[in-house]
Amino acid sequence: MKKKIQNNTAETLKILETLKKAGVDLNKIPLTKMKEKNRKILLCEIEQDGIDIKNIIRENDLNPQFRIGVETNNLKLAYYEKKPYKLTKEEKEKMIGLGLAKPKRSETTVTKVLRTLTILKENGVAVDKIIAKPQINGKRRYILLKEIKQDGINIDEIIERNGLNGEECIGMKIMYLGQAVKGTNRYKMSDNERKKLEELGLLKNLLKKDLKIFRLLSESGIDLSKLNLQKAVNGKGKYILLKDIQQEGIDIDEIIKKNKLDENLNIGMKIRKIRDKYNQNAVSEEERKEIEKLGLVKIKKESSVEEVLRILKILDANGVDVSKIQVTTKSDEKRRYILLKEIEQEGVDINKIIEENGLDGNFHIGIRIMQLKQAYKGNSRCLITDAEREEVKKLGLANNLIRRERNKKDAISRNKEAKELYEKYKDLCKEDGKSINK
Amino acid sequence: MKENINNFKQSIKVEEDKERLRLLKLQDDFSKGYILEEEISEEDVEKLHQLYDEQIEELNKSTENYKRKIMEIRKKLNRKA
Repeated sequence: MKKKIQNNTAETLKILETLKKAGVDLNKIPLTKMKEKNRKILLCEIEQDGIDIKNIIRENDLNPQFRIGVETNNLKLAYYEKKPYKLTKEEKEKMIGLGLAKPKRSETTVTKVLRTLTILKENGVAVDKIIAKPQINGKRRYILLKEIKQDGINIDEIIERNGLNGEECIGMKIMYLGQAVKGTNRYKMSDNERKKLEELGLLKNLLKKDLKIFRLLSESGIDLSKLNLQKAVNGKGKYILLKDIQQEGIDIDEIIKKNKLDENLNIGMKIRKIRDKYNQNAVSEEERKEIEKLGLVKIKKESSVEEVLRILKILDANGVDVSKIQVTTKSDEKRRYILLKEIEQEGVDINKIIEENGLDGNFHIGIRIMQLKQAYKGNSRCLITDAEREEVKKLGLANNLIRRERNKKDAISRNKEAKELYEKYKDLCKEDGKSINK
Repeated sequence: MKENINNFKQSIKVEEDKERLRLLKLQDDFSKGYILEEEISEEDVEKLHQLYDEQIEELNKSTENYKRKIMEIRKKLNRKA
């Protein structure tokens, strides 16, 4: 049986608090002794200007042999969840109070930029008119927040009043937002953030306008799933216009007149574009459902793997670390697989994510993650494609070799530390024995 | 008599585990980045998982052993002090 790694959190925090009170700069305590690179520093070996460590040890009755370097490092690792033991909320707060850890970022880059843009809009700035890369002093470059100029707007005053950073390169951030919408950079955008962007006027949702037209056509009796997108003109395929629609029992001219539509609307091209966006996953969950309902795409029944991956990707985009989801829970003394609504992670409001993304809170996420992992290993009847295997890996769910290699390296380094310390104690013991003999 | 000696020699002969050596070499290549996980067969990946788990367990055992010995020495030193 594996033994649990010893957790010295309480003792270490107490010592660190004492040291801080005595004026020791905790962030300058080295992990190792400089002259003996591989040996971790002990409490009695701390050297800082104006600090008499021996006096501090004596006055506070501390253990001079306490492995302050490695224990402080372990605490930092535990704070960032890189060690096998966990810190309590109070311990984490103490770490922040001691200046050894920074509070976790609750805001992503996307939310941060959206917050800045919302403040600007509330202060009268037409954010949709900000040119991200204007010509400044004869050169085209991304605009800084303090450089925004609009009639009746005093940007310096807005910056000062709202505690913004004038040097922030807002032009580049707006460009990032655009890429995030298209999914071409590493930033992830939730449906809610997409809506906010729309409210700010930065995302012109032409899809919404188009879907309104298709809704109208569908309500008028046109079967959109049976439309041929192209027609032959002089031997060449051309996208159909609204007036070209021919279906049994449908008078397209009457529908156009009644709803005041443009008869030359390139309906074929519009459906093509909607299908592209749908296939690239560049539509919101709500839009996806409507596109399917209107029959604008041929729905291929989602496989079990596809379904769970889609939900996991939504969770991932909303800040859930899917690789750390506890798949089981204990209720009434029995262990069972968890439901989506039961996911608990620091800083994650699962109910909000479920609501905003139209998910089912009773989705059996626990067992589905287990099945996904089995499919990845090839131990299941569920088929998994290469692209899906890549997704599993990206989400950190694969039991891959890289993770094991990392764990082995950690184990080697812990072993080395323990061995060195043991050798040191052995020498100490020998010296002590000699002095006693003398 | 000669046959007995031969049997004895055979019984104490340490045969190198060729499969283990092959896996260790594979692990070394993977660790150094000469080979990617995708290039290793499913069967070997599974064997490497087991090998890693064994090695990590061994290392953890050894670490715990050192810790135990250190605690003993500390106790001894405290008693003397």
